[in-house]
Amino acid sequence: MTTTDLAERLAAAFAADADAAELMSAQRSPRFEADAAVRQRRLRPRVGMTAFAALALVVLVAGALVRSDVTVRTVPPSEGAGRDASVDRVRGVGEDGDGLWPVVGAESAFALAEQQPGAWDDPDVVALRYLEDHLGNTRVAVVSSHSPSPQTREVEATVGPLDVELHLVRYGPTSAWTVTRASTPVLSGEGGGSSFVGGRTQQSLRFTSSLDGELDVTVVEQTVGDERELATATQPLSRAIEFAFDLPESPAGTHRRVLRLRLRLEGGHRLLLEQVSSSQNAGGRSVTVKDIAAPGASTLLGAARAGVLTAMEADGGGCAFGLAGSGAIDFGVGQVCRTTTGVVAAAATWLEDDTVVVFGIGSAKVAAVRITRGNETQEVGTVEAGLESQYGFVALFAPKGRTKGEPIRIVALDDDGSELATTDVEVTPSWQDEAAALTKGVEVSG
Amino acid sequence: MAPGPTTSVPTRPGDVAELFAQEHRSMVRLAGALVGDAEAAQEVVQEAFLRVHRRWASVDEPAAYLRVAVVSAAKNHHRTVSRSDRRLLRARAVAPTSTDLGASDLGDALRALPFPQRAALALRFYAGLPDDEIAALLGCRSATVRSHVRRGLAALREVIEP
Repeated sequence: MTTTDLAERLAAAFAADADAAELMSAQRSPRFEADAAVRQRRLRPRVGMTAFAALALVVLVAGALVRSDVTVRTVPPSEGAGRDASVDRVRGVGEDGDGLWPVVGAESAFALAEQQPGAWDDPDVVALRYLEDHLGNTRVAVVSSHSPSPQTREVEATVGPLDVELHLVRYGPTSAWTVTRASTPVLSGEGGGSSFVGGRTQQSLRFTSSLDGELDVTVVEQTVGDERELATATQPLSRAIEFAFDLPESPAGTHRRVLRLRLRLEGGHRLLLEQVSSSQNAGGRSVTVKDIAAPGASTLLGAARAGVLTAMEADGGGCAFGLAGSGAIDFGVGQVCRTTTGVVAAAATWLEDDTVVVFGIGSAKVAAVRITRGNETQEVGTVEAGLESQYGFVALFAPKGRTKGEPIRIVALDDDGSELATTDVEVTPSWQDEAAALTKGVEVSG
Repeated sequence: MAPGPTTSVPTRPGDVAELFAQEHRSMVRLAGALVGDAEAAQEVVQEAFLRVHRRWASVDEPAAYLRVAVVSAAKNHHRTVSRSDRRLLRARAVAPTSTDLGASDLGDALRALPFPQRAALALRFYAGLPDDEIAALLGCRSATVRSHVRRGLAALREVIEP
C-alpha cells in the first residue's frame, strides 16, 4: 500500500470519527450557557474533591481566624451539584467588603455559577473559588454574575500560616530563586561563590528582601528515607542578606542537598505568594517553575516543598506531579487513592534510576505509606505536616532491581497502622511520554 | 503601488458563548478525530471550553487557545484510558484476522497508537495542518512531528501489511 493510499484511508477513518462526534453533538444541541446536563455529569467525579477542597478550606480558614481576616460559618449542605461539603458558605470580611459566599471546588465554580445564577444570598456573587498557592496560602476569588461573561474579581484573603518553607533541590553554585507577591518579588536569592577547598564546599548564599522578619536557612543532605542537617543560620530580613556555609563535600550517588528556607514575617503582614520560581542553571539550562497548572491536571491536590514538587489530579483520577531539579523538570504520573475519611492520599511514581517517589497529600490521618512489591514490603515515609499546612509528604523508595513495568501496591496507613486506602500503581516505563503534555504549564528559559 | 495581499485578522469573540457558537462544531470534529470516541470528544471539547472560560480575560486569541486546549484535553483523555484497555486494543491491532482492513479495524489500530502519533496523523491527514502548526499544538518540534508521523504510519503498516 502506498503512503498516499494509507493517507486516504487515514483521512477517511478520522473523518468517520469526526462525523460520529458531530452527530452526537448535534443530537444533544449543546449550548455553552445551558449545557447543564454535560456539566452535571462532569461534576460527579469531582464530588470527592469538592469535599476535600471544602475540608481543606475549613482548616485553612480556621487557621486564619486568629487574624480575623476571614470568618467562616458552617451551614448544612444544601442540594446542588457538587455541594456535598460540610461547609458551603464563607463570610468574607476584608478589603472588598463582606458577603456570604458559597464554597465550591475550584473546578465546579463556573459550572455552578452558570447553573444556578442568583441562587445565593448575595445575588451578585454566585460562586467562590479558592486557589491554593504553592505555599499553602489561599487566594479567594469571587465569581460575579454582573456581566454577560462572568467576571472574576479576586478578593485576596491570606489564610494559613505565615511561615513559609521552600525546599530547593540540588542547589548549585549558580542557583537562584524568587518568591513573589502579586508579581512583585519580595524575596530573591542566589547561591554563588561555591568553591572546593580541602574536600569541603564553601557555599555562599545571598538574598534581597522587601519584607520585615527573619529568614532561616538550613542546608540538609538527603538520602533515601533519611536526611541530616548540615548547617543552619538565621538573619533578619533586609535589603541584602548573606549566608556563608562551609559544607562537607557532597557524596556521590543517592545523596542530594536541599536548601530549606523559612520566612518568619513580623506581625501585620499579609503575604500572598502567588508564584514561586526556582531557577537553576545546572547543566547550562535555566528552568523556571512558574505555576504548574498542567493541562489536564484539573485539580491541584497539594503542594509539597514549594517550587519543587506539586501534585495534581487529572480528570479520571490520575495523579501527576512535577519536580524541578538539576536543570530539568521531571514529571511522574500515578494514581490517587482516597481514604475513607475523605482525605486524599495520592501516590505517584517517578522514575530516575528506578527510584519511586510516593507523594501524599497532607492528612493528619495518614501516618505513613507502605509499598508492597511482590513479596517485599517496605514502609516509606511519614507525614511531615498535617492538613493545616497543606503540605504533603514525599517518600523515596528505591527497590533493588528494576521496577519499570512492575505493579506496586501503595497503602496509606493510619496512626495505629490500620490501612486507610490502597492503590495499585504501575510504574510506567513511558512516563516521559505521559509527561510531555504537562510541560506546557512550565516556563523554560535559557 | 498595487495593494498587497489582504490579511484576514481574526476578530476576538465577545464572550465564551460566542466562541462556542463559532467553534464548537469544528472542535467536536477535531476532538473526534483525535480521540476516536464520540462521547469522549464531547467531554474533551467541554473541558477545553471550560479552560478557555476560566482564562478568558488573559487569553489574547481564544480560538487558537481553544484548539490547543482541545489537543491537550484529548491527550489527557488518552492518558486516562486504562492501560488494560490500551493493551487490549494493541492486541487487537497486532493480530488482525484479515489483511483487508476495514475502517473500524483501522480505527482500533489508531486508538492503539501512542497519543503523539495519533495526534500527529490526525492533525496532518484530517486537519491538513503543516508540521509547524502541529508542532505548536503538540508542544514539540517539527522534526518530532515528522518522527511521530513516520512511526505512526509504520505502526499502522505493520497491522495492514503484516
